[in-house]
Amino acid sequence: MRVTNSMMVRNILGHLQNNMEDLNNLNEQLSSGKLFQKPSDSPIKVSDSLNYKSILNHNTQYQRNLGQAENWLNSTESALKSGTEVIQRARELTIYASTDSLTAEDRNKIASEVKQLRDELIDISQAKQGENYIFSGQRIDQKPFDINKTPSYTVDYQGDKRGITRQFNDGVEMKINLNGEDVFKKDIEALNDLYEELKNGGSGEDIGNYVEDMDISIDNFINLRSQIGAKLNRVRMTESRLTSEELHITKMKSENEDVDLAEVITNLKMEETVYRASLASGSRIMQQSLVDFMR
Amino acid sequence: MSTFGGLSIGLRALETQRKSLDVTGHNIANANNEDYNKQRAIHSTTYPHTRPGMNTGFSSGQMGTGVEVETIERVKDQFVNRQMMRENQTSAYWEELSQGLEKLEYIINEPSDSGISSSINQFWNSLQDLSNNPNNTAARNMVRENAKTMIDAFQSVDSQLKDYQTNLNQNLENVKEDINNTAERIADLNKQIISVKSTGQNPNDLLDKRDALFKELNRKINVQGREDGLGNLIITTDGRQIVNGSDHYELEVDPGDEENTAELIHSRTGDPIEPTNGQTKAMFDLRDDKIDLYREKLENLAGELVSEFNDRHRTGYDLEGNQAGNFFRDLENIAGGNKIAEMALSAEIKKEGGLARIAAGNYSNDPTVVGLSAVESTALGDYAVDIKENDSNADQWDITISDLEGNQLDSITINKEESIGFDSSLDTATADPDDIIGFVTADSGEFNLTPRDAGTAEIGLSQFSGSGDNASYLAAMFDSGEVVEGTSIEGYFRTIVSSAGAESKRSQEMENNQKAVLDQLKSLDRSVSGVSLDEEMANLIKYQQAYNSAAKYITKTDEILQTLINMI
Repeated sequence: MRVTNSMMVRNILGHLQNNMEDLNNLNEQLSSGKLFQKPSDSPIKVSDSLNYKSILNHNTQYQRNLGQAENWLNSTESALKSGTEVIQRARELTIYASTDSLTAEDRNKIASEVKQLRDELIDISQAKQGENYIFSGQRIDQKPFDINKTPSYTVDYQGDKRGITRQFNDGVEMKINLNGEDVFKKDIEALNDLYEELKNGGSGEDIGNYVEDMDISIDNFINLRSQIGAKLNRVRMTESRLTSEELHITKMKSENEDVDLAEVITNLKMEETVYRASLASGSRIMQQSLVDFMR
Repeated sequence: MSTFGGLSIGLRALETQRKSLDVTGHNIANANNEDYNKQRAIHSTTYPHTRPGMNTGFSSGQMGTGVEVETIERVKDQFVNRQMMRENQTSAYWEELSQGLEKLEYIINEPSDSGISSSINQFWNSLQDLSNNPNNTAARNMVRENAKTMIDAFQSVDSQLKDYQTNLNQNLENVKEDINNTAERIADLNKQIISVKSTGQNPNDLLDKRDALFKELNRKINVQGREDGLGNLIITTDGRQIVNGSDHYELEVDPGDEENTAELIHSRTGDPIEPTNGQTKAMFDLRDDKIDLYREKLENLAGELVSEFNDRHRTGYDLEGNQAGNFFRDLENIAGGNKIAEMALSAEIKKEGGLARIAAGNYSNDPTVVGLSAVESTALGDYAVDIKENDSNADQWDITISDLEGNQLDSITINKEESIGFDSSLDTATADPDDIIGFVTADSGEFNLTPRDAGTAEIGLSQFSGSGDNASYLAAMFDSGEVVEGTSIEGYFRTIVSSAGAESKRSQEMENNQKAVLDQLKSLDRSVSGVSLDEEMANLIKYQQAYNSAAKYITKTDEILQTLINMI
């Protein structure tokens, strides 16, 4: 083949151009740390990457939801714990007051303490998480109980029975609330009855009958606490599962889109050598011509 | 042979070598001219001298009379050239197309933290937060703001795509100008070439120029050229002549009836010109197929997103416990026009106090659409609803609500296509269909039954501000796999991104392939037609020495004549 000067120049330039392009690609990868900058660099990987990003975003959100659920459940748990303590104290007082040997004054003292316990239980039922009452069902802006003192003492539940739910995963949700009516209504009423019995001078036996009510209440609280405990457990397990999933997805995302520095640097070095070689050979060939050897 | 014949042989040799040196010089001067084809002076002997006379028969043939430059030839491989023309069209097509698709990728702007996919994700986050804090103004505000961001993201991409289409449309005018100018210059050259040819000479340099122009034209639009007997280059595109001899016919741009529908037409015949290759074809393809396709897909996505979101939003309750309206402006009945451009929040959400109109709460966890055309029983949380047509009146429904143990709580008969609410504050069912009919349920809030389309109704429990169920339901739309053409919203968008990427990648590869083919052909062409300086240098020496020798011959002839003259 006849080789002409412009052919040679074009070839050298073409090859230099290719080498530069390769260098530029590697350089872009190295400086951005990513294998691709735009979809055409690797259409499938870009799509995967978008997907991983979205999954990670969901994961982070669900962890946030879980955190909130955990707070809510913890508040519920501590309210139930206090409630149990209140009932236990009331039970002790009931047993103490169930003998007929107590004076009217003693009973009055006990009565006023029971009254305090009743009001404390109402306080406990008004536990809040942020701005929201946790025992009012979905009527979170309402106190759970409306207390009327006249003509007779009545406790009306103003919330509803519906659940507050938190989403823990795509399509997975958990009800996190207990409604006040199931938890507190009977106990408040029982404490009130006990208080009135004491105040009105009921017999020791009559008072003693309340011990059974108290036992049922305590059982109820323990039952609810174990429910909440189980839920907390599930929340924590889900949390740790989401965390490990996050690690896993992050790793997959990184494998999908991040460059292997060692590899890229090695490739860069190689390309650089090739580039230098083509520069050197190009400049040598282009300098020479028959002109140099003519007189 | 005359006495002075030797001198004229010498003179011709001098002239011929001299001319050859000039041609060599011309070659050297054009060594870097890409369009130049190497020229060669073809030497041939001049007409030989036959000596007349009696004794001719004893002579050893005719006497040579020296040399002349018969012609100056242009060295060119027509086969390679024709191939190059064809590949040039394709190369120009892919070059333009891949540039355009790369631009498309930049406009789509993925993967990034500010593109459509990020904005969808953020919107989803804010819906989740709203479901956790349904009565929180900040959470509601985030939903509204992130919805605006998402709309902006869609609109920004779409308007950039549209601008690009408009750009391409306007560029057609420039390309047309280029084509017309080139055609005019070729026609001029045709005229000059014919006049030179008629004198029996080779218009090598003019032909080079014409070839270069034809190549340029060829990249703009697919053209076909053939030379007629006189040497005119006749050029046609899509079957219409644009250059014929020294005449050229211009192309014109017909702006079309609608936006961005300009076409090329032939000025003389008025026929539309449909390019099949070259830059112009790529521009049409980009404008009418590629970009339009992605705009359509985006519009489809936005449309489905808006309508599905609105459907879900309307099933919810706002902060005041009212049935919610649309969240986005309804795009179903937009007359013509692009849905993305019309995307906006609905008026009631946008207005002051609109935050409260965002429906975070819901009738039930999963509003059940009950087919009223058939007897169906549907469990709704704590209740079961039975609906069937009234036995005696086909215009009425019998609705029965029971708890999950199967105890009937109440039943009611209503007219079809009526909005019925069941309110716990009333405990008897009133017969007046215009009223909201009271309906007792066991210690619940309210039942609501709202007939939607014919034959279906949504039934659920109304809820208070603490319910974030509808917000969850709205967020779940983005996880649902069946929103746009059987895929999820994000999945559909990912397909748009990856297919734009794949298409762009393919056209880049085609561009590179085509470039390689063209380079190969150019190398072949330059190998035949290019100037080799070494060769020219060798020729320089060759002709110089021949010139020197011829001069020497003249001197010797002169000396011989001298001797002859001195004899006298």
